[in-house]
Amino acid sequence: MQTFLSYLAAGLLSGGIYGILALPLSLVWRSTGIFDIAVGGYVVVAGIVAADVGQRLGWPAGALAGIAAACLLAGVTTLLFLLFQATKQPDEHMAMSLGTFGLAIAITAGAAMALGTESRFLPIVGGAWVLGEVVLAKGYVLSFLVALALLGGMLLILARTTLGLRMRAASLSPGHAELLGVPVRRIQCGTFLIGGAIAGLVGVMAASTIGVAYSGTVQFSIIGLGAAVLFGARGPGSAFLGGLVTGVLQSLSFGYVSPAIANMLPSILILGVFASGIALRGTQMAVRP
Amino acid sequence: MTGLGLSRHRHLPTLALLAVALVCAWPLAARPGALATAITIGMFSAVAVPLGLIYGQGGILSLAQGTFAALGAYAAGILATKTGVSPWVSLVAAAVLPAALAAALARPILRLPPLALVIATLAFATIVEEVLVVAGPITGGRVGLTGVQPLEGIGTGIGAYLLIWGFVALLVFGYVNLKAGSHGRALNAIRVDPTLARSAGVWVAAESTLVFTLAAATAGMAGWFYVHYVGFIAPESLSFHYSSAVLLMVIIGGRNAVLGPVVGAVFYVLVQDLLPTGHAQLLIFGLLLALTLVLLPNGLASLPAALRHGRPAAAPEQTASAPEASVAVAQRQSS
Repeated sequence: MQTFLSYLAAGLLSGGIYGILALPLSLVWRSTGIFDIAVGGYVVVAGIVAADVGQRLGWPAGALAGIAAACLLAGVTTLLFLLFQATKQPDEHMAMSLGTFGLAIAITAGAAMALGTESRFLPIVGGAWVLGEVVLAKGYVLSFLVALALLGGMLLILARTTLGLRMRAASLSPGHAELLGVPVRRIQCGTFLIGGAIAGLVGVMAASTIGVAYSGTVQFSIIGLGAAVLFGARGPGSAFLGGLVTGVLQSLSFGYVSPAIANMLPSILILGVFASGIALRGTQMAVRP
Repeated sequence: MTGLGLSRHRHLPTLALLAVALVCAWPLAARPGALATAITIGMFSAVAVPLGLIYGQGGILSLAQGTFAALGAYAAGILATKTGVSPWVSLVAAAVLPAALAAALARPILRLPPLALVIATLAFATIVEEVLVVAGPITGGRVGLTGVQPLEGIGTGIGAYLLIWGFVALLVFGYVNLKAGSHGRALNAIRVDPTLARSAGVWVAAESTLVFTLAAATAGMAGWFYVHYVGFIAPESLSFHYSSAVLLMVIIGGRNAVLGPVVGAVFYVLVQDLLPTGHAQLLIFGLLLALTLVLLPNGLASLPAALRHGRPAAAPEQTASAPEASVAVAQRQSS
């Protein structure tokens, strides 16, 4: 029982990071109909920059530098988005998502060239709390609390502020929102940048807990995508829940099945969700009958 | 059709490809480095042409095409190193294994919208890559399989060149015939409007599954050639990055032109040879993928037409419409 609780706690804590990783994907998807596959690249670059700067100037400066680097990369994605808009391609969602896939490849390679290929770690909080046989690493607990606060803030902004109202309007019906004076294009660009900042924060969290390396881009993108679509990419809440479930299942698989299955789990979940079609009913990704 | 697609004669692309391959054979035979480059282009083309068919004609974009090639390569490599059966027997296994997996995968995932389909195939590719590592006792794990012998009577020289380019020409021939026939029109109709296609009697699931499975089988056969030519296969050899490279070739070359993937393979391999390290190559190719999608959606194959008209030729989806789907369906019904 104690072992089960240990795995459950570890899964929930890492699931919090996955949940936040799914937020930018979910936000951009809801706002633009695009999956920003480059998000894994933002995470990796943010983590590496945070660790490198943090080593010299302390972790707060490192965290800020990491988030700024992620925002910069998200800015490049935003420029690509605007280019697609300017060329008026009817299949822009598909083409732009593939474009972000190209950016993810370029970011991975660019990070390896400019920042090196070694894994990085940014120590923020050390030690652990021990409750019976359950060990809670303080770094993970801190990340989980930050993730919860971020989710709460995001839901509050979406539900209670003018910006949130505009974001929801632009997401539900861009055409109607535009007619009513909502600056849809600006909202969409802002969503990419907010997504970049959140991914940057995930990079800092990852660097302070599991460590990051340039080669993690695809893995982070897959985990984020898996968490975002697990409950149908319906919004930030479902994305975060998807992250929690992914984290718990991965941790239990690691403990009771095999580490290999745990590694594959996000991909298995994506394939399972898409193949069954159950979680996608009523969403933009619903299968054909 | 624009650029390098079908214009006047249906088999012009096949004949042109064969002619170029045969004319180049003589000078290449005397230059081993250039011959190896030509064979590499041929191997990439053999995986990219089927992807061009399913994406350009059927709208099925798969990030698992390299994975199917890897499965074929592993099937052939395992049979060659552990059982010693003839490579010509293992060719069947190299085609059947990926085809069987593709057929099983097709039914649930080909109903998905295009973007979800891409992600599903990406997930499948990462699962297979992990399984290949986990199944170490059979696949050699991260180290892979070594010591696969070259094809007897073919070798790794001009024989291999003629074999791979003959195979590519056969694929192009098959592509052209399929495109001109009722299956091709059905695929076009499915790409434009699956519901309309179904209402006109196109068996959408069967047509999509058939072409997806065929593309996987041909990729597996290319993998078979790869493992016998290189003599080695590891999870990294034909990994997810390989699938990305193949996708890049199709998009840069031109997804809607029959010879687009071949043009993309030539471009990719030649540029790869000019660039210094692996990371620099990935950086350039990643950016190229993103920019090509924006600036030249129909790829290099549409460049002549784009230059003639002073603007990029429209992407297939731009010209595709419900009336076009109706025409495709009507043509299918009358055939």
